[in-house]
Amino acid sequence: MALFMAVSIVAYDGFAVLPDLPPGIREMLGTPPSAAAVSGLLVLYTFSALILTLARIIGGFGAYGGVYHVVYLTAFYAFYHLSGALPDNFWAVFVSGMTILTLECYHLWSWCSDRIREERESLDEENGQDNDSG
Amino acid sequence: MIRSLIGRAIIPVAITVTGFVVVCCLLLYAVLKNDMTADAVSQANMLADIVVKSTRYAMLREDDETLRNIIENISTREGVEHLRIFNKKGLIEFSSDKGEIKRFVDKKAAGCIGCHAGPVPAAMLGDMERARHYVNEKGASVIAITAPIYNEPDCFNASCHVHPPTQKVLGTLDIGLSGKPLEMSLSTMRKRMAVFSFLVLILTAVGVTALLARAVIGPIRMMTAYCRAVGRGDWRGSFPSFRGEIGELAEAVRRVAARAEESRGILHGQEKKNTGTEQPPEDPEGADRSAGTRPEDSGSEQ
Repeated sequence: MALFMAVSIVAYDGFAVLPDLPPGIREMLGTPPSAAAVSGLLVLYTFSALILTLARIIGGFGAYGGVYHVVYLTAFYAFYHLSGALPDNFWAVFVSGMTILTLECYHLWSWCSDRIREERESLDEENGQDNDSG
Repeated sequence: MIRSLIGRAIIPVAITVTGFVVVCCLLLYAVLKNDMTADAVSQANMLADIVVKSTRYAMLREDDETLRNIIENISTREGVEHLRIFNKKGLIEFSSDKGEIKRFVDKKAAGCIGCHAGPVPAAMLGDMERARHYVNEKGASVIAITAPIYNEPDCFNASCHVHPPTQKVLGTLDIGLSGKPLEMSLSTMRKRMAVFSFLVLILTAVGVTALLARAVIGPIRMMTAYCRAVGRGDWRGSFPSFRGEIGELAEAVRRVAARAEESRGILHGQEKKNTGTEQPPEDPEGADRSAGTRPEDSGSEQ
């Protein structure tokens, strides 16, 4: 979450702290995708990321995919920046990232709480057995 | 709240649904804003072309007074922030602001740089390239169009004129229209989308709460009340029946309760045999509790 916030702060200024791409590299990269195409992909990505995180919540798996999401979201910032539509679409990427990462954090918190509770219960049981035998 | 069943169900659902709706609203807003701005620019371009056409005859005849009147009349119209005509060198010939007449425009300003960025000025621009959106010194949002006045056969064939046929652009008309109507429409759209997103959040939270309360929390509370009553030794209560997973859980609880009641009967019988009297136990609640809460213990005693 903190990493994503840092990337968002840099993106909010239009990546002003980073040097401009040399014209040669820009030419090599080719024509940037249209803002509409990037927006369509962002909707698709947000939808699938939320569904996958919800599936992990339902299945009770403890894997955390937050770092990968930060990479994908940074790519969206970069694509919007290259197509010149970042100021109009910054908040969409930001809200998408916050939603996905908040859900990931909630999942991680919930999963860890359950594991801690289970661990406490097993420790209590062990203590109880020790007391009985003592 | 955060540890309760309702809280644990509402939080992920509310985050998911509301977050996705807000992302879609923001992207939709960006697309609509672009479309509405393009529409406003198209309208402004059309108006600029109308002004160029309407001043054409006066320009051919070098009728400065008529031109000045046309400029003044158009600039009195509400929503027209400025209107000026300058020649190829950038000298302002006619303007709604009399103070800037005979002054040079800044070629590096937002409206000029589009053509004058390179060493040779561009002669042709698209509709969007002719437009600029900025806030003027009065703090008003302005959509301005710079429409080139092209050299046409009527111009370079006229006896009174000195423009050579090779000169493509004779001058430029610069008209600025108020961007307030566009800003107001966008502001209204933003508010409506915010209200819509808030309603989605409320509806999601209330919907999940209502469904859980009806399908899960209610039955669990009834089962809890029944189990507590059995724990106190009150076997008179009837057990409610449910369907689905909750029904299976209820059936399991009912079996445990029936088993506990059987054990309680057996325990009573054994106590009677041991004491050899017909008197009921002095502390039935204590016996019931031991039978009701720990059926496996009572089973082991058998």
